[in-house]
Amino acid sequence: METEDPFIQAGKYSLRVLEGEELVQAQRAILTDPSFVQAVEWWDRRLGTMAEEATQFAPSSATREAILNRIKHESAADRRVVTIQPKAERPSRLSVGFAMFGTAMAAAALVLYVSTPATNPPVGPTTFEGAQPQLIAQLQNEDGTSRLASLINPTSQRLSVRVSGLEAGEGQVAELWVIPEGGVPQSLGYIPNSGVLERNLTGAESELLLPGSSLAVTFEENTGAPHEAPSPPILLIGAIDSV
Amino acid sequence: MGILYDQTNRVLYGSILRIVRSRGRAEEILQDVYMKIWRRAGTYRSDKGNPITWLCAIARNSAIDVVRREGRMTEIGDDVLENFADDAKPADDWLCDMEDQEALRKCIETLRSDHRTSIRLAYFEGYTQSELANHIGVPIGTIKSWISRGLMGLKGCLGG
Repeated sequence: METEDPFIQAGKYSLRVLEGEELVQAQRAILTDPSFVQAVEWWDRRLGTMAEEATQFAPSSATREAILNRIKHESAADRRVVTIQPKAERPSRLSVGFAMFGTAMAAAALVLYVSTPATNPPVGPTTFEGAQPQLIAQLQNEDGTSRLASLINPTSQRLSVRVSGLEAGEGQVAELWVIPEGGVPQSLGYIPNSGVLERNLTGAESELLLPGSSLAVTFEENTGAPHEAPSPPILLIGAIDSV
Repeated sequence: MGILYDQTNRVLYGSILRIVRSRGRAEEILQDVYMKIWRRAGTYRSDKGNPITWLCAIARNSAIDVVRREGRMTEIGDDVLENFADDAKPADDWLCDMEDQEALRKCIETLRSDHRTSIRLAYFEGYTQSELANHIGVPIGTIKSWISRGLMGLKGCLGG
């Protein structure tokens, strides 16, 4: 990392070939260096087009039904429409296909009907149910005066965080971040300077909290979470492990 | 979601299967991928790439997460993959941003063979640097160099 061009290292991070200390350093750069984030996004966009030439295979016919059943069980009554705008200059046939959902959106819009998660637990393949381990992350600064211990229960989608020794300044607040491996930081919201925070996780948050992802803490302006990106310095950072 | 699935399942399943090398495991991951797509639809940003690139990134990252957590399976070898490829439906132009894809394809073709192979194997098989070194049978320093030089070539060619 010391001698590698950061732009090239960002490409390796996007390609997901990094491991060990190089991966840790790239994850730190993701948290602290906006130009590194921009470089990763540049590579994501370019290298991602390789997927389009992947050899195609047909899954079993039961897979489609299983997915639609899982969505049906996770759906709530209050449906809403989420629009996804493809490249404006050249709408693809994919976008037109999405528009076939029957909305009055412009033909260039991708439209997915999305429901908010239901209060009932999602119903999925039995092989997944109850099989997930607990996840932990233990973070502390160099002198051990600030610590964070977190326990994540993927099954119940519950996050518990115990914090001590954070001292946010006037107008600042501690914010927790998850950095997916190969991804950019996502805010998990504010946490206390000291004490315990327990809350339910959204489906999207649960998908990011995996072994190999990292948790980090920064001080942010108290203007309302979530912030789009963390502000350096990184106070605490550590990997999520399964137990 | 049914229409979305019908239009994209083969390319996403292909991306996953190539990495995890087990049809059953790949189908479980495919289910999870469509659940993620359904939940994250509102987070898609067109300035970060076209829709299929976004969908494929979710599929590839999900498959890599699984093999790095649970290990790579060996149920399906390269020869088997070739045999049950869905030859009825090659990658369609409607699914892709052909300009971007063609630009990358041309640039990759300009790379030295070992640089190109390293990058393609890393992308399609989900290998880390050390896994690539083991797979190809060269020192890890060589692999790091090949990937760096390959990416530098792409950066210059693509105008990064």
